[in-house]
Amino acid sequence: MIEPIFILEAVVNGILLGGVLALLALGLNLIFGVIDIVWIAYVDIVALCMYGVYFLVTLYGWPLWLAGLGAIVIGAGLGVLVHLLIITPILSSPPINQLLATGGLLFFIQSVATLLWSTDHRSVRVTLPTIEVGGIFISFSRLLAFGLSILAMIALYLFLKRTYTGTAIRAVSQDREAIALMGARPQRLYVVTSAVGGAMAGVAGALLIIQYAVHPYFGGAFGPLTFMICVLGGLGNMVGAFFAAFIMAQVISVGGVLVSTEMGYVIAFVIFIVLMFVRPGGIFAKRG
Amino acid sequence: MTTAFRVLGLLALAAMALIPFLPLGAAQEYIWHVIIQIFLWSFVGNAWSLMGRFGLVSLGHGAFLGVGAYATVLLWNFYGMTPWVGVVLAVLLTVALALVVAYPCSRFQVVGHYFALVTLAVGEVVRLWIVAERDWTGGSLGVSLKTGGAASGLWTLQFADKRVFYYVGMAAWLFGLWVWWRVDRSMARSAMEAIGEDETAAASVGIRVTRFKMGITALSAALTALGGALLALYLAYTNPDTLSGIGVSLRIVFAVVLGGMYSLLGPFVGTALTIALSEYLRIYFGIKLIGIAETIYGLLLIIFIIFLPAGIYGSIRDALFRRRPAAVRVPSWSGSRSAPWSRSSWPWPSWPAVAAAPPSSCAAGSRTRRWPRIAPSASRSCRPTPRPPPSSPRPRASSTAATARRSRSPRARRASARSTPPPTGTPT
Amino acid sequence: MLELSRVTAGYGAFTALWDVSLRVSSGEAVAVVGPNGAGKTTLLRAISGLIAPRAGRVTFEGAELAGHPAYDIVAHGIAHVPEGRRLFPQLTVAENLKMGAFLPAARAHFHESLERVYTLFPVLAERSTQRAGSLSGGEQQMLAVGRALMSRPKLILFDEPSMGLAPVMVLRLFDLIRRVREEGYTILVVEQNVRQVLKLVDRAYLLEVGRIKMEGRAADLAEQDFVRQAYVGF
Repeated sequence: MIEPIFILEAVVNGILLGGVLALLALGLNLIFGVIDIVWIAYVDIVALCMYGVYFLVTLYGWPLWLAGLGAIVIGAGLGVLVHLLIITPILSSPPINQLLATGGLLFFIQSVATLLWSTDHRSVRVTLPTIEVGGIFISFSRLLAFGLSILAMIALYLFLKRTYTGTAIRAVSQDREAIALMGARPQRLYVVTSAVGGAMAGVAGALLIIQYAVHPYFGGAFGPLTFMICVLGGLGNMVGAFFAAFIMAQVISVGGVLVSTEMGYVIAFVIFIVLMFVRPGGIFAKRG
Repeated sequence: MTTAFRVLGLLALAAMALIPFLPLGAAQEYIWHVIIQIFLWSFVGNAWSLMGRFGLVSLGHGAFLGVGAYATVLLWNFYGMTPWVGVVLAVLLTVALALVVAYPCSRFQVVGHYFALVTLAVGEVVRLWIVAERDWTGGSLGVSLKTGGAASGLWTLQFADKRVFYYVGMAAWLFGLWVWWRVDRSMARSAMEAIGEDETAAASVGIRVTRFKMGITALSAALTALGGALLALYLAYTNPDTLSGIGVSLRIVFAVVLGGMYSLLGPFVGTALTIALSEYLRIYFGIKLIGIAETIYGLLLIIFIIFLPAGIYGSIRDALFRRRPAAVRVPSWSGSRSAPWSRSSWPWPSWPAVAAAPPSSCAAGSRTRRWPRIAPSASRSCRPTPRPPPSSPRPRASSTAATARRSRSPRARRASARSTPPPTGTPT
Repeated sequence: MLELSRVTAGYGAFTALWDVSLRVSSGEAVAVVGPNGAGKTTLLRAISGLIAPRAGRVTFEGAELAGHPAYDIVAHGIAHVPEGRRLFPQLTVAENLKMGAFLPAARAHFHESLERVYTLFPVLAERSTQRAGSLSGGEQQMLAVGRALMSRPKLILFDEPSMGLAPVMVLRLFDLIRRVREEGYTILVVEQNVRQVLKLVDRAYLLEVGRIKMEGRAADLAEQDFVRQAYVGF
């Protein structure tokens, strides 16, 4: 039998994991909520940012925190690039084409990564202590990642709520023509949204590289999970995604301890399907 | 189809049937191999398009492939069950999985993006589960089909001669075409179109929405599972990445969309092109640069989607026959958007009336667009039908369907707020 | 101030306006009336830049505006209160007003404009943190007008402001528009409610099937028999 202390540890780790998953989901949801396009390749962009941090630290010797900031810049840049090169031409295409375009990007990123950096797993060797709290061992990097992701989410919230641009981004997702009547350019707002979404990916990448190793198919591990979280929370629903992330993280973490890591994911999925039965628009969907 | 084309089609079929007997030199096994792949994968593509053409865009068909393949292989490997029975069981298992997923989606109107992402998750989780249960599935290394030894042949469906599989593949492909054709001609097609147009309205005229959606999903899954099983039997090997997971699912979808989702031979054309392309790239680059073939493939995918959204076969055929597209190309997606999107990137015939409609939910500036769906030509929404230009402005229908859609979800309400004047009045 | 010269506009193959010419002088209040389907909304959308006219010129204080995008035209000083309000339903009243002042020039005077709007529409001040989607029809219309005022325009276009409002609210609304006019804004109103709007404005145009059929002083137009007969009430 599993000792309760391990389950408690799993719960705590689940919370910590949930923070980063929430960050991933928020970035994706932001872009979808405003531009109406799901970036299938979103987590692969996160993976690119992870590579960015890795190379900045190992090749150029940057300190970790600086590399993290670098990842944010890289992420924002990638976001803008993806939007301008791929999304803008297909803004008025049928949604299936949009999914396929970002799907093609997924192939492309994964294969370029394989080409350039081979399938080796790469991690940033961070020696951060493990903290013990009442018999539970918590890795400090996890705690740090959790704290920083909460900070990032607060920053995003303040940006969207308080600034003109942030409010305009929320407005353009509600009525694109009306915001144009106020003097804001919808296209420019989209670019900003993509940059912010990309920056969130950068933050997530920086936080993930200190916990996991990156390899070209990293997106295959976290991608579907992120999508499940977004759907569970209601596509486009930021608050929903936030809570759904923690729920899923708990299931994965506790399931991983009770059965096995991969089965943790499978159980999470089964619960996802069950919840789809119960609340098909996402558990936090506003009934309309 | 005119007689000339019918004859041409039969000749082409005959030619295809004769290929295994042509002397093609040293590379003939390889050529057969490629063609068998094309047959089997376009069979799968056709199966996918049974759902895709009605707006049920699944990004997780890899799951059905995987279950079909693994079930067949494992039943043979562990229980010595002949594939004739094994395939049937595999198909049934896959259909059960499909129904489990399809039920909440059909009953509760999980459509569009939601549906795509749910299926994507299904595909990935099946792959993950296969990897997790590595004790008996072989995990990421995959599992090989145990040879039947001396008893190979019809009983075990293992053949030394590739040519047998050539005809098996061709038969499967033709069978898939036949099923597609039957569905196209059936009541189910009209019902699915109506459902795609507006679920509530369809339900209100007595169409059993859930049943039709689940039925189509089950059919598509069954055929896909059959394809997966045949592929596993042919390759005598299956592995979670080649036959499940998002990669393979995306490839199927891409091939079908490239070829043209709404036409019978579209998936075949698309699959032939993509397989030919990836084989060419693999030969050309060999193992010199690992990943370069995939990189180019991904790049071309993106470029094609951006510049050739109509699909190759579909647009060629329409241009050739100069008839109006078999599908009214304006995509629609009930349940999430209220406003049909009028400016379609699919090829329109050249009649000027077909351009954007008066201000309504159809305004060209509206960001709302919908999922690909075939609409009945007698559409009651503001979708322009390809007819010679009317002399007076088209009446814009403020359909109850549109209102019903609008009341359905916040997104739909947002969408209607987005579009120019709510269609309660006419342009003023 | 505003001059439309032989403007033709429409959507795709469908033309809604044919050869429309009108003018609004600074400080005036002008109405465009007409039945459903006449092209009134198209007219305003052509002015504010949501659609580009196919032919003709739109001149505002000497600047050629035809074909310019909406976000450019509002910077010139034309605010459009769209048909159906088109508020941002999930944003609060205060945030809607904030969006109204998106232009840099408007942002600089944000607090001043906000004060002005809250003085004109005290109910908005009360409900400043309420979601716009949950306001009543009359309050929403006030918010829409207030939002337009936040951009510090010179000319305000009103598209069917009385639509969807209860009769009592309609009277109040026209009162408010009168007060806005008294604040010094130039007004161009498009309405189906002919009787009420003719009491409000100086001049009016009659638009039917995309063409200007009549123009004149509001009092004169109100006397026209067929106007009274054809467009009684709503």
